[in-house]
Amino acid sequence: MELQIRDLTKRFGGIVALNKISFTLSGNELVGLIGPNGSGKTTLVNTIGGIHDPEGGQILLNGTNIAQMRPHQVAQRGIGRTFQVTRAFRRMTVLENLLVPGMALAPERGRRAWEVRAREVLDFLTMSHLRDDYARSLSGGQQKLLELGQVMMTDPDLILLDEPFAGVHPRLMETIFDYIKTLHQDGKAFIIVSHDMDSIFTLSERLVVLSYGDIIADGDPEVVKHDDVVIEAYLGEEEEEPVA
Amino acid sequence: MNQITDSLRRPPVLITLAAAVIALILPLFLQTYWLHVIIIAYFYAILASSWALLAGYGGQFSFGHMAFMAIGAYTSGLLTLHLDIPIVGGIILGTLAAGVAGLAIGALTLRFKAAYLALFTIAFSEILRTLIRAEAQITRGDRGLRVEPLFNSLTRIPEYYVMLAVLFASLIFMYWLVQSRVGLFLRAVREDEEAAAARGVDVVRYKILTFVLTSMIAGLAGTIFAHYITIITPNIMVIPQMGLVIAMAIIGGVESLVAAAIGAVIVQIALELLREFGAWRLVIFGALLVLTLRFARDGLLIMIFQRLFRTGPRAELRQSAEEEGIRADQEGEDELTEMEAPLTSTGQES
Repeated sequence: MELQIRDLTKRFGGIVALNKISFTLSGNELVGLIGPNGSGKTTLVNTIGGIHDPEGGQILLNGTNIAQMRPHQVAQRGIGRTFQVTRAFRRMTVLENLLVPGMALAPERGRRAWEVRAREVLDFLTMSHLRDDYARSLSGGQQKLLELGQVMMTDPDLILLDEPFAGVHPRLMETIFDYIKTLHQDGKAFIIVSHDMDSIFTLSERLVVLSYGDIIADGDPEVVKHDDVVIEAYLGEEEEEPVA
Repeated sequence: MNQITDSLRRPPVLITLAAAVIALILPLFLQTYWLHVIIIAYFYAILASSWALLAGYGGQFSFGHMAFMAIGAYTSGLLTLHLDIPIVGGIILGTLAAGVAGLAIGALTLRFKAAYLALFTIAFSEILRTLIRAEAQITRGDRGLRVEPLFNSLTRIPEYYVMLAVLFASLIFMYWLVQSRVGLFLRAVREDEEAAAARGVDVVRYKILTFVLTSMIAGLAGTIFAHYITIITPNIMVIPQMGLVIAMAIIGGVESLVAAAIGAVIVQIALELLREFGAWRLVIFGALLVLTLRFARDGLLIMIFQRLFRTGPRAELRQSAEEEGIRADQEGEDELTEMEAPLTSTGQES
């Protein structure tokens, strides 16, 4: 799997949310995407995911430009994603939530096969006992897990996680953390947006830092952590230690 | 409580069978006048349940349902009158015409937010009504178009069974649809269009498909109605008529096809029973609608069904699960605030 972002530009009116940004993700890299509020992280994820149409540039997935594709077409190409604020289908059961991506992306496999797959995913997430509960009755953390389960259903090559640890119970945060590591070891590539510095620095093999729509750093987390430009972007010029 | 149980989406077999048997033997006990009332009630039941599929399952709030019904009615009426097409042919072509109109309107509007569909379908209905009135040399305008009768029967019994058959057939078809993957996707789209798209659902395609199918069902109802009443006027598609269909679906339960259909039958019968109250019956009806929206947002019948079928351990389990969920969130938040999380900030959109 190779994802190439080339000169990607996205504007909202006069505001440039992404300013000709470029980077490449290869194989099963796990890339952390960080930056101060308003830096363009979620915009980038939404643009890769097809929710936003970019004004310029390319998003090449294995050589095919997916920049103008609709979200369902992006999903068909093997990119799964979660949202910053959990968007499980609240008035549908956990099982139904999991069946949606399966039945949408590969209906020919049939409902029974997808139900079997859903049970596997629920076992993996230790959520089997919640199968028939409505998504809205789950806790915030469980809903995050459910979204991860939806992504896992169709076994995508690249997973975009937008704030997977935000507002999650600490115990569940550890669980999500472990699941991400397991999936990564199984060969999945990740782009993870997070404000949780402990988790993102521990998880990531590589960090991309955005500020006002520009990439200001891209590299090894240990190097990025001590990058003066990153420190300045996060805490301003007066501060010396930007990140723990 | 705002959730519809599976048992309501899948009405218990015994209740469905009982309702079917009662409906089948009803003509034996009713006078012609009340048979007519029930036929009209079934007509509204088809419209209310198909609108419930569109709005309750699909989240598409259309005011054009009566317009598609009228397209079916006028198409069949005009074709049988001017081209001597058999009534069955008129019914088929009328249904198809409503579907084609639904496809055109759906393709134009369903790519946009739901409010556009509501506004556009109001405008479409009014334009169509004005057009029918204006083209009086073809449609006979407000004087009404005389339509070939379905049967030359004095008893109305054949018409009763035809309308009942169409109601059953449309309910069975829609039930099959909501149980299929289309129904799964529709509910996902209703919950969150962007999230459904991100999961691989071709949102526009399924919205248009549902819009076309429900338009065809409305058109089919319109054709049968036209050949039953034998005279149709543009007044069948005025906005208050559309409001009546929506109110019937809401009072019954907009997220259940059967509840919406039963709601339509009950409201139509109630309107007839309250006829002696004159304009006050509409006040009573309006008050019922307000009370439903305030205290039983899933529908009055749904609330009654829930009381009947969900007052057991399963309901308590579900309630406790919801409370657990809320508690887990609160505990999580409490623990998060106690944590010493270095440089942790959450929740801001970037």
